[in-house]
Amino acid sequence: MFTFSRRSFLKAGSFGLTGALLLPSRVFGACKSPTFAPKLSLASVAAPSDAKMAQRFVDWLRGPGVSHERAVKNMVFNFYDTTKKKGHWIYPMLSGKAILWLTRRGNTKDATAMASSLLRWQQTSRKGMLVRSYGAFPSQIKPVTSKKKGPTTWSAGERYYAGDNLVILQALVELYEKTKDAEVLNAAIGIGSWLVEVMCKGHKLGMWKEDHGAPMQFVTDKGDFNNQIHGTVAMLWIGALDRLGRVTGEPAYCAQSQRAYQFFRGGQLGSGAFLDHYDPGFPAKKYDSGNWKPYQPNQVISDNVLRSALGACRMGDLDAARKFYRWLKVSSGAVPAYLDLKTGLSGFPPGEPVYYDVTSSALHRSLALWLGERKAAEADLAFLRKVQHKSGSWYWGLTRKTLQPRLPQLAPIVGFWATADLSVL
Amino acid sequence: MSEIRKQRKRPRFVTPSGKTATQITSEAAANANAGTPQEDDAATSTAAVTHTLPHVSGAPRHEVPYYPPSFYSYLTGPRQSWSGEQFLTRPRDVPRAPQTMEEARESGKRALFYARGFYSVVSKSLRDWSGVQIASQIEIKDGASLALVFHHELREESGQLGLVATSLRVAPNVHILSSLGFGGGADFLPITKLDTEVRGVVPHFSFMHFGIGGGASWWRARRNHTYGTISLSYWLPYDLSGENRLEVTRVASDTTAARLNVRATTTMLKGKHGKQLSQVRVSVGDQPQYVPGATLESQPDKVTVDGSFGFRHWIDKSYGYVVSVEIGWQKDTYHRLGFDFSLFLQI
Repeated sequence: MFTFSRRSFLKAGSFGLTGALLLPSRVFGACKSPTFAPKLSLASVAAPSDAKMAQRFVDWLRGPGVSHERAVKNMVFNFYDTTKKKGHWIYPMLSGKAILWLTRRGNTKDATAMASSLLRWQQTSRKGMLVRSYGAFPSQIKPVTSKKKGPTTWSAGERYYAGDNLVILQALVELYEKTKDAEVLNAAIGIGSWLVEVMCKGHKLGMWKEDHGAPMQFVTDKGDFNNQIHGTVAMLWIGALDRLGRVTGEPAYCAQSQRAYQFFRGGQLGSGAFLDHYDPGFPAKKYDSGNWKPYQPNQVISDNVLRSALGACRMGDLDAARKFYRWLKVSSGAVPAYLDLKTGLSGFPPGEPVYYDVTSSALHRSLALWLGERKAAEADLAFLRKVQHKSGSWYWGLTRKTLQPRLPQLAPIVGFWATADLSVL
Repeated sequence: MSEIRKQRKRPRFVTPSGKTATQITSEAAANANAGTPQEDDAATSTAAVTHTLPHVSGAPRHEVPYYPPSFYSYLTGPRQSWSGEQFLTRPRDVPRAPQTMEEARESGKRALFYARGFYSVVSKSLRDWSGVQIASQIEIKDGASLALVFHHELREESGQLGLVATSLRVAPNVHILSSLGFGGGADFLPITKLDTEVRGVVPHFSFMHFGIGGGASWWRARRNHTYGTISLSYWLPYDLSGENRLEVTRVASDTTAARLNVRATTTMLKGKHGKQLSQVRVSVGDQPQYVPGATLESQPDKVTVDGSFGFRHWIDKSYGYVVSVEIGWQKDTYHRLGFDFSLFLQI
């Protein structure tokens, strides 16, 4: 049998223990599983008729809501024009949202079919400046006008938005968790690595003076960046990076997610309002909180700021969300499309007709659920029920006076949020 | 076959540390959960669908990953059996987000403190055993915990032992537990103690954990122990969990030949963490005869049996108490009846 010298054993043991304690967390650390959840569930505030409301939307989505052309089959239109009876441009982000929505409803078959179409559009070339969008999804797919007859050809838009890709990332990660399809995870890794290694590396690409930690707004297919950092959509979905980190065991994704959120927090004012974006300028300057800007002077966009507040909820920052909730003034479930930064009331200039953003009602309902505000959530749902179009979808904007559509455009995004609380982790 | 796989060849994207999706899914498959729901199916599916409006055709059911409940080992039985694993038996991995509020509460706990007192009436001419112990376990960051123990005991003489133990997560579902202890040199406590154990989830059997480890301790009168342990912990329905452990110790000193001691321990728990847990523990093996002040050569190996029955009760979600009754018996040497009481605080 063997014997140990006590001295050598102690030495080895103490060195081992010390070294293990001092090793950087990323060697051992994995991402934390979140423990945050809304205080109320959607089902607890829903009416019995809401199941039919959702079904009507599903039926509409399967029909006019998605494209039936081969190249973009099952991909979701951004708008459906009720007068021209056709969809307007394909928005890959919405396909991502649809995949998320379907996956959460347990419909992984339809979600996979949709993902199958979507993944064809992932940017997979590293030639020249395309390397800066390698792994990302374009934010638009548009038909190519041609004098030739025959099926429409489609091409990817120029821009790759970080926020849109975060939505798609969340969808793909959740779909992977259900199906364990390696191709879905592969696509998700493409997005995650693009965000972490390109879009959050503005300081290494000459776009920032320092490492801000959050992604730049977009890059074009020619490699040109917009070095602004927008909260809003990115703030709501930045947790998708964290989720990808947990699924892949890659701490770099989680660390970036946390850092980005800490940056986004800087965009909230003392009143509770969230500013729209951070503008470092070009040539970029060092961080200055005064560089956080609204959409326009004293004006913010309601659905954008609501997304920021929901992003705070998803990161467990309910204090920030509560502050925002108190700032925003909602009347019977309806939210003006533009808000006054100081008051939280309508931000439309005097004399201009006010219209409501219907998605904002659904986002506000989700926020109310997080904060346990039952009456507000019920009021938001009641408004959504009231304004559902007979086809099953919703107009994106309704005038305040008559609740008539601002434009004759149905928007699937409203339906996704109206029938599900997509903000839940 | 995946619809997506049928498409033209797609590139293999990699994570910042260079892993591909294929590698990750292969690793995940190797460590896969059995997928057995922890909670009642109806309750789970109800919880899963409450964030979307239900289908007209019926509520969809969502899979619930298996999440084993906590397993707290007790500091009972022969004192020589202490190791880091007794404090840190529960790896803090949460495979996925907690599925119940209890789990969410549990996964948020970061520190555990114990204050303990014990007394054993011992037969024959041996003095009764008594003492106090203060112990704490703190999660210093995700995947890393630290435990500190101070033990003071009085038998024929007074003895103290200070112990530092760590648990570090080195891979998903795998932890290394280590401990280092220093004592005052009493007969019944080591002067120095060092051990390490690897604990992990048994592949393909997510309801079982394995533990493999070993260590060494040095005692008065130039005596030393070198030992290896192997254990299996498991979680069963009806709030049952347990552990079986086998320990083989080589006991030696400078003045006598070495010999092997073997001990097997079984522990069973029943109950819910956060409410009440009952525990039964039985340990059978052979050990050097307990003769205070004697050298190893005058301590032949004797069959030793220890058992305890106790329960842990949470007064509030953050604190409670533990009481247990112990019995011990060593052939031709002693029998004892002990009482143990602890207060604990979780934050």
